[in-house]
Amino acid sequence: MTLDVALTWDRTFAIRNEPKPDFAGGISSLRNSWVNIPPSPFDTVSLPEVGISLQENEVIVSFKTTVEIRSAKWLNQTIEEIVRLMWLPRDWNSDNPRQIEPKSIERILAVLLTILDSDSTPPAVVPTTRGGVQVEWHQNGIDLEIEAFNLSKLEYYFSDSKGEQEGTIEDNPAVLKQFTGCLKTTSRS
Amino acid sequence: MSAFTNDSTIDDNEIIWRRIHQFQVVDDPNLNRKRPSTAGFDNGRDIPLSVYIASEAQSPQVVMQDGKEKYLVALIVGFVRQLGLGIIRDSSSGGLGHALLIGKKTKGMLNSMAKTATWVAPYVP
Repeated sequence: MTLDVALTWDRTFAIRNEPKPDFAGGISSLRNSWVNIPPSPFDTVSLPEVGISLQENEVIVSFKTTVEIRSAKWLNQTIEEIVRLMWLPRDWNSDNPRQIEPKSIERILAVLLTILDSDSTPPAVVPTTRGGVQVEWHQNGIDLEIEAFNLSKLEYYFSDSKGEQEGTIEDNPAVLKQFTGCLKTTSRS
Repeated sequence: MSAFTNDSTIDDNEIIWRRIHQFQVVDDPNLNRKRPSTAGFDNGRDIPLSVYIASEAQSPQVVMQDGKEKYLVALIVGFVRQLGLGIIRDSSSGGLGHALLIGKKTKGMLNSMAKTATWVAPYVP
């Protein structure tokens, strides 16, 4: 039996907002740092803690993750896309939207760190009118969408050639890993 | 459906327009094209969704000039009714041709709308 113990890493992103024409939250610089902390068992079921703080024009994102995820291609790209939503103005669309809540951003990042692997495909990231964040994949005949719109709720939608399912999850988002696993299985077949 | 949730004077063949924000457009390799995300039709599951009846609105340009969105898509009234939604005119806001889609929207319904919607020129990503 292999004991799955991975290093955990503290990761801090600092993303500066310097608005550009036609872009609500331009990201002109991205610096990040890794701090190695002592090895400890990494529990893939519980949600990793993600912290987000807004300091003037800079958003600080910090979390712990495994050494494998540290090299994941989806990580930098997805964090940039998610964090830029924090700079959307309060009235960003015509539907009287709620401002994107930092808690939704923390929640969706924590979910992604839980359910994605180092070789996972980066999701598309879109804001939702109710102040949430939706991540979605459309590949190999599969559609998968996950939306976080407050601290406690996740909504998901999954569809493939066999049918579709949708629902709400309030506790353990690790069950969503079955769906991201399907994306991978299909792409390898 | 009652007249308050579905106006039968709006023909099934009517085209309706929906504005789409530029942050709510996704690449869909399954369809091999860009399309609106389901989030572009999701303003809250039970909240009426703002649309325009194309034949009653002045033009796509007029519909777009008051919005914060960059893109415009079209759907057919009969299609959204088949999904289980109703449509009523809304003269209280939104200008000429403004209407509301009424009914609870599931993720599956949103997905059908997002995949079926066609871009309206010149507001195409």
